Amino acid sequence: MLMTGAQILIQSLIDQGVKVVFGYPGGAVLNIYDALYEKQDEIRHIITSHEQGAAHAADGYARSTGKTGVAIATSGPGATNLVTGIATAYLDSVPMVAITGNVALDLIGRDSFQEIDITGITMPITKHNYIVKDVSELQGIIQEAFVIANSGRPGPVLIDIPKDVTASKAEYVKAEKYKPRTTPAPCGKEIEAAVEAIKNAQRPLIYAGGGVVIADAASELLALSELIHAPITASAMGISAIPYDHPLYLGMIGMHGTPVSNKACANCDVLIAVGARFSDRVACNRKNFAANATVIHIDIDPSEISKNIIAHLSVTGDAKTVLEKLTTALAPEENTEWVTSLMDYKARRTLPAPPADGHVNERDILQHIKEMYGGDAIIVTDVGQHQMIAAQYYQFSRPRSFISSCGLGTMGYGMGAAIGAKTGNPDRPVILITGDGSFHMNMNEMACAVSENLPIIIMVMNNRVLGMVRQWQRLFYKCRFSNTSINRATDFVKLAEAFGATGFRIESEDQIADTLKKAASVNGPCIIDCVIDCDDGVFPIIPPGGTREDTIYSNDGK
Amino acid sequence: MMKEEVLSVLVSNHFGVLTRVTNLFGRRGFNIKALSVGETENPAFSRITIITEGDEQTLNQIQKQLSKLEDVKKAVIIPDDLLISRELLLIKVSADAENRPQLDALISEYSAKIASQQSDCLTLELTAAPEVLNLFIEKMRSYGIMEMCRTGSAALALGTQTVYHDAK
Repeated sequence: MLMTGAQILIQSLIDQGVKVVFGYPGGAVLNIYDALYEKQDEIRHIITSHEQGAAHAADGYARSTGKTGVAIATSGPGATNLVTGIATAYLDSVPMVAITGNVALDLIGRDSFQEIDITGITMPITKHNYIVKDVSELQGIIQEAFVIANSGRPGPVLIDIPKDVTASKAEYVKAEKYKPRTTPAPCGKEIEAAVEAIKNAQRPLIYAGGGVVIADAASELLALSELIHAPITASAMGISAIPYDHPLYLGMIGMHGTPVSNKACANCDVLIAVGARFSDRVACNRKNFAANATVIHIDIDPSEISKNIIAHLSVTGDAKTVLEKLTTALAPEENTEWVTSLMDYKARRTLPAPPADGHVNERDILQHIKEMYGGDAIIVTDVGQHQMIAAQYYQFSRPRSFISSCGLGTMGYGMGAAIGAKTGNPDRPVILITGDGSFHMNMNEMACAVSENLPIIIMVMNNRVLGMVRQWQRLFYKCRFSNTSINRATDFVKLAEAFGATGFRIESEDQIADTLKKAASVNGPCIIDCVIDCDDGVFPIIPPGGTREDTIYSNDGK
Repeated sequence: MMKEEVLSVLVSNHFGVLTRVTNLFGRRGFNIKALSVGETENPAFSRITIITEGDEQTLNQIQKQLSKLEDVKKAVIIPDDLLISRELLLIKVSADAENRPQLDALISEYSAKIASQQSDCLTLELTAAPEVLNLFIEKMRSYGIMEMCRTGSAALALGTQTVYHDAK
């Protein structure tokens, strides 16, 4: 059937299984939006307040569902506004297809109105990108984009389509939904070598990353851990894969990791890293990380092996398959002394407890959320102290429940991501934990959440400062609080009302439970302004570049 | 330990691919000492030959990161013992009646060719392994190099195995 490029695009998205797209119209995508209008019964379009919000929404949708997130933006500023969202998805391996319009082919290269070289700009932050110059190639490119976004290590793909290509016609043939490329089976020799090293381990440790969540390998990971009696630690990307109360779970690793995780890492003799990349927030000091261990690195991306930490052994492959193969090849082990000593230390050296002084503390709020929602809630965060406290204290029991920009650390991510997560999971409670700094960046997306009537609970940890930067200024810059005491006059309750949402305020601990209950009964988004202490800090913290010995446990620097 | 290697990269033959490859080197801080690119016998592919330098871990990363690019069909480091590498040099030197006999002797020694000659300058052409070009250039310095241009290496591996082996 002869169709316009715009019609081919929309029909191809439908063919690829896309039910919802996040975007913002504009001149160069007029044809695309016209084609969307025709198909509005088959594909839902959510118009955000800003293209950045659309990219984050596509990302939050993808992380929470495992499906591909799709964002659409117009040329020029529309396209550049997507960039932070695409980079966020790239750093955390999120499958996304971003579609941008561009000016007509004969206007390209002339600095035309709203023209930008978006494929050039996004080259380092996409797995691949395209500029479609011939409408006859469009259908194939769209399918290929979904294949690339979802094959091996997932990531974003951008398709830039000049306006005249969306208007010109080509033959459309009904296409099958994409199938990701098959991941090569792990090499038998690599598996054998890993099995041998694990067999000889006396003090094994498993370090789980986001790859475990992506590969849907949480139960396989637990099976291996239980079989070989190896404790588990996780990066922020991996925490939702391990139930918080699992008897072998030590908590998060790294800069803000639990003392026991970092101790285990320093003392283990075999470290089994699964779908993790030893970032500088995990291996704060690359040269000293797991210094006594044989490192076995399991990853689907061959370029991750020995990128940051030299892996003594490696298995390249899908985490789920590799873990199954290891579990089949291994026999039960007992490392009672090792595990008991760590669990004793875990019980002794806990994360700091919130003071029982009646003031509002995020740690108490997280506990209340958990009690109220059990394992159902999806916790979305922005970036900063509130994010790390959520990672440290929230008791996760279900993968894909922690939606957070861990690699790029994008302040302003949360509001869009929460919209995406709620759209993809209408039956699960979605709670955005944000800070007053992060929320101010992209709170315009409240308008979108209200329009879509999405019951998202937004908890603003309002300490009136840029808490994490301020914490670093306190610890590493002699309390010279340069430009972090923002002290905005924003009234978040009135703000909620101005957007057409509901606002609450929590000023003392005893208001938490009641306010959460009220918020849960609101049919639509609500903001809860949580007034917290500006001097609260995230502890422990290993200073950048430091080792476990340098850990700081409190504001006094010790 | 730093080591110089020759990377042979088989890529899709369409616009923007060279940018993707050089962009990767730039953003990850990898070194390009020389680069040449041209079509292959198959119009669907081009071949980029890159001389790079790094320690073992870096060279390994370069090869793996390149292999991840969608348009890269194969990226291999050609081992030293299998390497056939040739480069073209054009070099313009001052020449007069006095130094001409010495220049002619060098031209003959290196099997260089005279691409063009004027009364006061010679443009020489030499195809050889890059290290031979280095020696030749050194010899030319004393005669006054006016300008020169090197193409970067073209390289293949000895034997029947080709870059197409295991290409995606």
